[in-house]
Amino acid sequence: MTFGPGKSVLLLTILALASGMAILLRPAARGAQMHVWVFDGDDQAAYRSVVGQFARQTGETVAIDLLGLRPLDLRLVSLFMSPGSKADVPDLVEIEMSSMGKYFRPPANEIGLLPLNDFLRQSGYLPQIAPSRLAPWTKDGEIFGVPLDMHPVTLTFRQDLFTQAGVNLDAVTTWPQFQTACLQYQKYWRRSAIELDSAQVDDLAMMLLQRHINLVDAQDHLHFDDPKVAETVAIYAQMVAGPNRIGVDPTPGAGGDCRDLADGTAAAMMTPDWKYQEIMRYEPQILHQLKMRPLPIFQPGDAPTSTWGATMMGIPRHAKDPAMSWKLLQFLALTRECRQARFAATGAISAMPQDWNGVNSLFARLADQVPSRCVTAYTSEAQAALTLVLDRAVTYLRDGQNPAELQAACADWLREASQEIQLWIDQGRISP
Amino acid sequence: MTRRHRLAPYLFLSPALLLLCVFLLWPLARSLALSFYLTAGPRTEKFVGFGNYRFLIFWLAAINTALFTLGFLLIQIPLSLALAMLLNSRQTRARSLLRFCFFSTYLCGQVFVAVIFFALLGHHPLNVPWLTDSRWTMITLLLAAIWLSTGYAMVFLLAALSAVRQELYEAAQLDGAGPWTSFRHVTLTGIRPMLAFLILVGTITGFQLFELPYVLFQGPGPGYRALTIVMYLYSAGFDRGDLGYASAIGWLMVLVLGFVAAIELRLAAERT
Repeated sequence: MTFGPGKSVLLLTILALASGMAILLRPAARGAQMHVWVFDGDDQAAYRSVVGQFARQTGETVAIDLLGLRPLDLRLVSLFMSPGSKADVPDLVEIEMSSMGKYFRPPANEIGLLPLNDFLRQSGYLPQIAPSRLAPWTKDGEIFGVPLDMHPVTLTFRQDLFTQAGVNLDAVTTWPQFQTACLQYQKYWRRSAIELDSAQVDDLAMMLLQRHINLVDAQDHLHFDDPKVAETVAIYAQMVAGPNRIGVDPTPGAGGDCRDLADGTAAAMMTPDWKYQEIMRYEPQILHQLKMRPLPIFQPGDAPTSTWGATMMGIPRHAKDPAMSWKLLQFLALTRECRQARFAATGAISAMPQDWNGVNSLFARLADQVPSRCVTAYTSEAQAALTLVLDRAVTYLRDGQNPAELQAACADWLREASQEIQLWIDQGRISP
Repeated sequence: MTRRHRLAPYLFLSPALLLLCVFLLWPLARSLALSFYLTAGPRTEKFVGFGNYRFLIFWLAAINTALFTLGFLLIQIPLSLALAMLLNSRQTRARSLLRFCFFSTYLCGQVFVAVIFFALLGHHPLNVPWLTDSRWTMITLLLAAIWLSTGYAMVFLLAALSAVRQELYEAAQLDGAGPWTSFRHVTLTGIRPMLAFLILVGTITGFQLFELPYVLFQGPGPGYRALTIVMYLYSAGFDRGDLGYASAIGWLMVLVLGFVAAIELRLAAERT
């Protein structure tokens, strides 16, 4: 018997049929009944270490799925854009603050996450959470996530290098004083004193928060015109460029900034709790040479700390059983032993003040002074505009122009940026 | 011919036409319509007319993309032509090996090249802040792109050069033409269609640039100088969740690319 199209076609057809049958007939994998999407491996480990207890209490098995920040974002955006589809909707999700703006674009009643106000109020947990940490997850009074951490920021520095250079940072209280001290350090070591990014605005945004400035507030009002913003940008730009530069850009890549601290490329860095954890992971040998202190300030009334990043846990609006999702959320985010497990795995100070007394670190002591940071649909636009202003300021100094006139120039650039963001806000305003 | 016979071709074509309408024409029409709307979430849309086309960062991305494309073509084409002429010369030894070496960079792909250059330039070699200073961003990007794709263009030009008849050079020499005149009137004329093709492909590559800067700078780069149109489109759609704005960017790119391609093809046709 012959097969017309040839032996190879016959072989391929048989293989295709056999593999197709194998896929169709394979037994379905026994999946968990509930799914939690997380973007951080340490969080996954922390939740996995305790979630068996929830299964014993409720009879529900829980899978903690690690997706990574961007894949998690993409899948959530896709799910929220097709609300009719209930397939694959997780029972809980972790969201990072930098992603939150896009979820806040629709009116509050169309946001893909479930408002948690009633759950939080009825359970009695609402007053136990630091109010400043609810701000990033709140729109029009509706709370869409339970904050998991505070991320206070300290200044971590190489005590050995500063001491050898004869510089005492304990006496420093303001950023300009810090700059003078660092210039003295640089005179001795001929190396930059602190890691500050000249191209990204994370460090600058932390300094603005110290001064209690959110460039876009919760009501979408802009604060680019605040004179403190121009002053802060000008001071920051002169720290990273120009004749009085004290900053060096961190080496790109995972652990690059920690390596800079270890090899003396820089001797100080602004350190949130998670960054300190990274130093412990990448360069544990330098821990005994490090010292930590509160951040210098600009003027009285500024916070001696700031915040960098935030994570929440929320429930998708179309989760299959919101009541059970809330039970799981309470267990993972709000019970003491789970909070302790997360702290042990990540080093992140929890958003519940009752936990701070038990932690012996500067991070815990600064936690109650963490400034409030809000997120709106325009936060990312504001950040992009600030990046462009910083770039202009840095280029201005690198081109050798007069630093004394920088603040006035910054004020003009910030005004232009403000007009641009206002266009976005006006266009995005949706009538109810 | 009966009515049945007249309808038959349309009946045969209808399944393909239906698929074309559902999977190509409808999405295209929908995205064109979307480009005049602001979208927020699954249900909210607001008509904004040409409002999506007026924002500064969009134009910054457009300028970055145009600058990259221009720089890319101005460097890549002469460099690959020089390499092709070198390898086309009978005096060059180990031509096959060199051809493979020059072409091999193209096999890496944009993401891998970005990772290589990230590792290479991250530590500020030659004391230049390649990845962190906005004044160096475009140069870094061009360096990586040229390294990646010069060999690719070279292979095409090599094929075109080998097709230029030797008698033409001999005739030019008899007429007293020097090397420069021969190059201008024989070589360039002979490879003009290939040059037109490479310029068109280079333009499209430039306008579609995404992975290389996205991986190399881990985002839009210092001062947003590595932000390209496609990167901005992606960011508008997935980071901001505004599909209307993303559609507007996509349609503007289609118009610009169509316009540039038409001009290039027209010029090439006229000269040929």
